[in-house]
Amino acid sequence: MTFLAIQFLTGLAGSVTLFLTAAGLTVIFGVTRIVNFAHGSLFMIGAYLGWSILSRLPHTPECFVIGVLAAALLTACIGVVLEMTLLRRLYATTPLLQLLATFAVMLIIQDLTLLIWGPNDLALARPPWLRAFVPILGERFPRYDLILIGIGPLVLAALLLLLRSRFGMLIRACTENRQIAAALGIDQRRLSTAIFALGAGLAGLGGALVLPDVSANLQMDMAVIVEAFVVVVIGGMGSLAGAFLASLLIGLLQAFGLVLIPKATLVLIFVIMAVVLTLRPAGLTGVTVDEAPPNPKPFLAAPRVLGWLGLALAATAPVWLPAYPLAVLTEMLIAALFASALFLLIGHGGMISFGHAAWFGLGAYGAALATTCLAAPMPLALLAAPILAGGVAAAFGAFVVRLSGIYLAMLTLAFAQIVWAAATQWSALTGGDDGILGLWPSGPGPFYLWVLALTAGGIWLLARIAASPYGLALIAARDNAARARTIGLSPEHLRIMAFAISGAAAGLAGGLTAFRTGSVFPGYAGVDKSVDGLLTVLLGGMDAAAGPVIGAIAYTGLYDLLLQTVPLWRLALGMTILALVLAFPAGLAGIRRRP
Amino acid sequence: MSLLTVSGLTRSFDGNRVVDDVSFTVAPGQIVALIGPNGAGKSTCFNMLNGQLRPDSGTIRLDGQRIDGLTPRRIWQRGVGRGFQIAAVFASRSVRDNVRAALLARHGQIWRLFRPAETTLTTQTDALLTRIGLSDLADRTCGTLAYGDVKRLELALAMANEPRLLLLDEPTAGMTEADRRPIADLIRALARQTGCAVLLTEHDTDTVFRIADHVLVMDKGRLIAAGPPDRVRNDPAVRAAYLGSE
Repeated sequence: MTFLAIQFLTGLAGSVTLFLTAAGLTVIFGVTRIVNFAHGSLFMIGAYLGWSILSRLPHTPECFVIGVLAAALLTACIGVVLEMTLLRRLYATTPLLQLLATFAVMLIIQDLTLLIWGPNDLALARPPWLRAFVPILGERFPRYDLILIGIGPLVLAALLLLLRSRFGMLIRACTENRQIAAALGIDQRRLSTAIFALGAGLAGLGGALVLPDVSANLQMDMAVIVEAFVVVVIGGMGSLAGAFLASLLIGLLQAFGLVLIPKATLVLIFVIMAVVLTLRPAGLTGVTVDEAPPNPKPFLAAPRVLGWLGLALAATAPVWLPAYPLAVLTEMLIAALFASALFLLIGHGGMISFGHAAWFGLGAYGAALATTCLAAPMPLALLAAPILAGGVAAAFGAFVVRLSGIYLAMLTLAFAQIVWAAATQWSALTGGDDGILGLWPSGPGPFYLWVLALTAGGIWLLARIAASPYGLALIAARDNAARARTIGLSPEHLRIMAFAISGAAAGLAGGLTAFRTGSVFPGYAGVDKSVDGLLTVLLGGMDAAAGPVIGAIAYTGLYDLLLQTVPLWRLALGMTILALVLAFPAGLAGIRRRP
Repeated sequence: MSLLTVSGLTRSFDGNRVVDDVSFTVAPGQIVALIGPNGAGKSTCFNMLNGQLRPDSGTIRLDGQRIDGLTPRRIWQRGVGRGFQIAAVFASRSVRDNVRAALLARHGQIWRLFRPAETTLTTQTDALLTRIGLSDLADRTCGTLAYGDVKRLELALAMANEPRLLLLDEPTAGMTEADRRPIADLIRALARQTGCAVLLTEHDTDTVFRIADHVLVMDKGRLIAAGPPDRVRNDPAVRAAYLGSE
């Protein structure tokens, strides 16, 4: 009984910072329809600013309150600057470009934070009043956690009160229906700036409030944003009450999960998210998102001559390329296959996958396990990769094809995190964080030629499928699902097949990577890898068939170049992405069509 | 023997009987117009016929077989084509590809993954384009078409299925007076050529009396009149419903 009560309170305390961050994310989404990937960065900034301010102030409760509020206020100001300089340029673009640009902001903030505060974790010296305990049912419970528990409902009440004001009425109007709100003369520019200030302030408050428990560190942004995504999605995008309920749910789940099933907590969270979304496709509170109507564009055909020329050049590359550039070229080819797989799903299928690394990782582990456990030669292992990934992708697709837009994206992310968590925690099979090592190419002929044949063949096959009757039907279902049904197409079946094909191709890319690097790690299924794929596709352009290949060359090249030459490569990469998004929203392949 | 037999069709929303005990038949090759003032229950009636809504009670039979409660796709498979009130086509594709997609579905060739769509069913596609009068625009992207042409294309998509029954929800909605006539004439010509029956809802009475063989009038969820256009036009109950009685 005592145990339950203590864990319950711990869970409540944990849910408060989660709620603060998610509340900001969800109101920003409600008004601006932007899924702000950089929201975790604002949380991190709040924590670092809080540390800088609080460590200079006297350690009294009054000063703590002042310091935390100052950190929140400063973060809000940073949010305003961010909104006015960058984000407002993005409101009219596609969700994917917004995701890409805000991810770039996250990269930039990460390096700026590193530059300002240095690489070390910064712990706040805790004065006695912060370290005090309160006896509850004979147990000692941290007093600060009790204070946190009080802050959560307080903030929720303040926000709900704010929603009843005139400002809140405008927020609700915009969340409900942007077009009509605009038609009624609501100035959405000023409202968006204000809402960004509010959201950023809440994130900053959350970041500053965790300081007594957690030291400020550079990994905060990613950890927080993924959890906040989960909370917002479970609660229903744009819903404050939903975010509150969902953060309670997740907070409690974490508190009990850590004690009861420490190994599977993460998996549990994402399973809950998957269950909620499958049962209630619009989250707990059932808020439906009036997503921007898709703006379907025809694809530009790939220039065939260039393709053959490129292939001929690549086939002779071992003769004229030194070892290192050849290694980079190998990486580019695999990236091109991975991006082409993703492109089929996003471009032709109209489904945003935020977790394509799941199939990449499954392919990599499939190939690795076939080699180590079954002693399969490389060609067989490379066959196992797409079969495993494609099969699982088809099964997963059957569950999720009814979801739309942002929810589908989040569920794919959830599944990728499950694969990642399984790879990390099932160490008997996967070696855990140490991964599986010692996978060396064993097939006949040089490995590079295997990569070239399989990636070029895979991309050619994907392009052929895209141009087939099936590909046409898939696009038809994307353009207008209701119409597609009345001419006898089944959008669900078409999409499941797209998941299978795309998953298999991504799996092959993963299998090839396993042999390229000689090892497999959980990171192959991580968020970074999924984002890599998305960036590659977006960089290449969404409306050109050759986009993924061009994107892979550019992105892999850029990445390797920056990694080697620039000390602050995240900053440079982020700036480059931003410049590209703002200057060439149609991707690199779209440049030549600009007037 | 009638092609479509609707009997006792009823559907309520929140206790309001939006469609109340509606029964009628459509004979093969017949053009039937379902008309009535706004809120009469036409669209609800239509959505039950095409499978988007399930009736609370009543039956819908196509050639004697029940189709009520089937999904839109199953209903399509039974030979029912459909046009939308707001024209719905595949906007990113060319006119030709739109028609091709419908024909591919019709001929069960959707799951061919490894042959180019470009060279599949080309003859049939071009024939249908010619019949519907869209050959000149075949390579245009649908997003750039004028509304009248989108409506034509919609008809082509519906006809690709060689339907026995065509359901058209306000085929001339949102069109100018000048554009309506050719569409109305096209519908009539297609019905005569192919022997396909047509059931349409329509607001524009000119169009209705121009092409319909038989007119059904709904008001407040009930069928209040039925008969040839001329008789319905002069029916006092119909006039009252449209002009407002009392």
